[in-house]
Amino acid sequence: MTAATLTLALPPLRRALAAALQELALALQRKLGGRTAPTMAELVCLNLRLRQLYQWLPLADAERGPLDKLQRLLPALLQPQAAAAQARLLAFVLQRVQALPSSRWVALRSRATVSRAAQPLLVTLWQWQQQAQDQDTTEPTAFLLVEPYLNRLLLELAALARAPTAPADVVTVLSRLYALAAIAGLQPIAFAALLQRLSLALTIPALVTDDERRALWQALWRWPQGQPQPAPPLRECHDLELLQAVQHDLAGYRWQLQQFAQQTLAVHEAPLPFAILLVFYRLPWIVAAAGNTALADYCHLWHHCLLGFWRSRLPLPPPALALLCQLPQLLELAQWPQWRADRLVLPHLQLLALAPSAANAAAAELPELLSRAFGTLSQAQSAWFADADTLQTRSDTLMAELRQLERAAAALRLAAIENYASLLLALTAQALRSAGLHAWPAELLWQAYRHLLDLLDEAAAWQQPLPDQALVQALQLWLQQARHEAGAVREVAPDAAQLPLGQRLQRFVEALAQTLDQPVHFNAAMPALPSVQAAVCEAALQPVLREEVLAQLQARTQRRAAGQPRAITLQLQLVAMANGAVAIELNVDGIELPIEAATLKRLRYGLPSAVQRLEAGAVPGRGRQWRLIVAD
Amino acid sequence: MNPSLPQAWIFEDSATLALQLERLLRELGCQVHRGDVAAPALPPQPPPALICVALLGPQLNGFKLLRRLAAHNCPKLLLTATGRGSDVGWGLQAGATAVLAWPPTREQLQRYCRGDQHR
Repeated sequence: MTAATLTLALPPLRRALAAALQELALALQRKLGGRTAPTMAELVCLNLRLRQLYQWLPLADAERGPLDKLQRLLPALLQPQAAAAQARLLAFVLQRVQALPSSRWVALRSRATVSRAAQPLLVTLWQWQQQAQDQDTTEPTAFLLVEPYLNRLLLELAALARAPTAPADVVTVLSRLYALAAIAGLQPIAFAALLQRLSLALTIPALVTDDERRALWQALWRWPQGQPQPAPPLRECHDLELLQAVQHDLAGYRWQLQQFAQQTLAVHEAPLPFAILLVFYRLPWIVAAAGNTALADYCHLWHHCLLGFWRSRLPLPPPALALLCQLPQLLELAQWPQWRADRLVLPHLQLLALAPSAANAAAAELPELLSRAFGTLSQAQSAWFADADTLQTRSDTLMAELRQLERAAAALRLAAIENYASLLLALTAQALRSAGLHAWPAELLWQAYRHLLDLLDEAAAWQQPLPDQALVQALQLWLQQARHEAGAVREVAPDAAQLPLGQRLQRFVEALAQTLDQPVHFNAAMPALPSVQAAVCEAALQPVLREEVLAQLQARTQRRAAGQPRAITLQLQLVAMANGAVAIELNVDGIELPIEAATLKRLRYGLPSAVQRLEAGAVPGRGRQWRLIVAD
Repeated sequence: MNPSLPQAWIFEDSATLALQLERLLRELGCQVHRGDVAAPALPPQPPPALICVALLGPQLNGFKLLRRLAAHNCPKLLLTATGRGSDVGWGLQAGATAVLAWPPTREQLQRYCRGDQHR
C-alpha cells in the first residue's frame, strides 16, 4: 500500500463515513423520538461499518480521534440506556456529520412488503446501490488496497450461500463488503447486480433455480480466484463447494507454514513444533480431495520426514527448511493449472535424500505402549475411588500400570507424565495406607486419575502433555498433610514395634525419601517372621536400604541418561526359608552400578551376629541385587 | 432438523475433510450436523445415530472428545490418518466403537449408520 494509493482512496472513504454517520444519527433520532426503533441487526451493522471505515483512515487523519470516541460511545446505542446518554451521543454524531463533506441524509424506504428476516439485508443493499450510483466512477480506484479483504468477503458470501443463513450473518458480511467497496471505488453497477442475485438466493432460495444458483456460484468463484474456470487438472473441478473448503483449509496451512519458516529462519536450530507436524498430518488428504495426487504424495513424504525429525527432537536441517519454505507457494490452488508434469519431481527427490534415517525414527513410542499396556488405567471410573476397600481391589493393577507408565515416560523423556505418574503412585499408596486416619479423598483421587487420562490422551495424539498445576499442587498438599498426620499417629502409637517387618521397613524408607526429597517406591512382599528374627532383619536391612537409596541418588545423572525414572524402585522379598533360616532379596531397578568392596565391607561389619551372609551384585539389564541370609 | 432421519454428528475441524464425510453420510440418508470441537456437546433430542470424530486437529484431540461423549449410546467412529496401530488400541479404550483409517469408505460408514455392528 502506498501513500499515493491511500490519498486517492480518501474521497470515497469520507463519503462512506458521512453516509454511515448520517444513518447513525437518523437511527438515534428515531430511537429518541419513540418512532420505529432500529433493529439490533441495523445497529450492529452500523457499528461494524464505522469500525471498518475507521481502520482505513490514515493515522494522521483528524477524523480518527472523534471516530475512536464514537466507537466507545456506541454501546449506549446498542444497549438500551438512559435517554440522556443517547441524546449526548446524538449531539456528538450530528457534530461529526456536519464536519464531513458531501453530507447526504439517508432516507429509508418503506419496508412494509418485505419479510422481517430479509429487511436488514435489503436495507444494506439499497444503501449500497445508492452509494454506488453517487460514486464518481472516473475517480482512480484503489482496488489493490482492499483486494484481499474483498476476496475473503466473497468467499464468506459463498459459504453463506450454501445453506439458509441467519440474516444477521448475511447483513454483517454485506455491510463489510459495502464499506470496502465504497473505499475501493469498484465498478459499482456490476457489483450491485451480483449482490442482488446473491440476496435473492440467500433470502428466498425457493425462487432460485439450480441453474441460476450454479451461475451464481461460478460468479462468486471467479472473482476471488481471478480465473474464469476452476483449475482444469482437478478431478472434481465442477465441485465448487469442495474447492471452496479446500481453499479455506489451504489458506490456513499456508499462513502457518509461512510463520514457521520466518521464525525458524530467525532462530536457527529451532525444534520442530507439533503444530507443523499436524499440518502435514492432514494436508495430504486435503490436497488429494482437490485432485492433486502428486502434491498429496509429496505432502505424505513431508509428513514422514517431519515425524522423524520430531521424534528424534532434531531441528530441521537448512536444506529441508529451504524446501519447506517453498511449500506455501505449492499450496496456491489457483497456480496448479500452470504446473508442468514434473513440477514436483526434483523437490520430491531432494526431500527423500533429507529424510531422517530409520534409526533416528525408530525410538520407542509412548502411543504404542499406551495402546498395549494400560488397559486398566484407561478405563478408570469414579466408582473405583469411592472408598478404600473398592480401590484396594484394583490397586495392584493400577499401581503396576502406573509404575510401567513412569518407566516408559522416563525412557521417552516425557518428564510431565513421569512426574505425574510418580505423584499418583505416592498418592494412591498413601491414601490406602492411611485410610482410617482421615476422610477418604474419593473426589480428589478420581480427579487425579481423570487428569492422568487427559494427559495420556494428549500423549497418544503426540501432543505435549501439560499437567494442571493447580491440581498437582492440591495433590501434593494432600500428600504432605496425610504423611504428616500418619507420622504424628506413628509417634504416639504404642505398638509400632509390633508391626510386621515389611511395614516397619516401609516407614523407614518413607522417612528416608522425605528427608532426601526423592521419590522411592518400596514394595515388601514379606510373610510374618518371628519377632526376634524380624528385628535382626530390620537392623540388617536398614543400612542396606539407606546405602542403596544414596547410591542411586548419587548416580542420578547416569540413571537419567540411561532413561531411568527419577523415582527409585526397591523390591524386597523372601526367597527361601529352611531350617529356621531366611533368605531375603532386595532388587533395585535401574542401571548396573558397581558395588565397591569397601562399602560392602563396611555394611557387613555393622551387621547383627545372626546374619550369616550379605552379598551384592549387578543384575545385567535390571539393576542391582542384595541378598541377605539370617539364621534362626 | 428432521428427527425421523438418523442424526449423524461430525467433529472435524478441517472444512475439506468434514465436507467429504458429510457428503458420504448424507448419501447414506443421515441428517448431518457439525459439532463444535472446542466445546463438544450434543443436544439430548433427537438422539444421535452416529458420531464421527477426527483423531487430530489444531484444536482437537479425538481421544479426549470421545471420553466427553461417552454418555451417548450410539456408534462412535474415530477417524485416523496416521496409519498407526496404536490409534486403534487407545481409540477403543477411549470409547470408540471402531477406528477407521481416513478416508472411510461408504460401506464402512453404512455398517455403523444402520447399526449392523450390533447384530
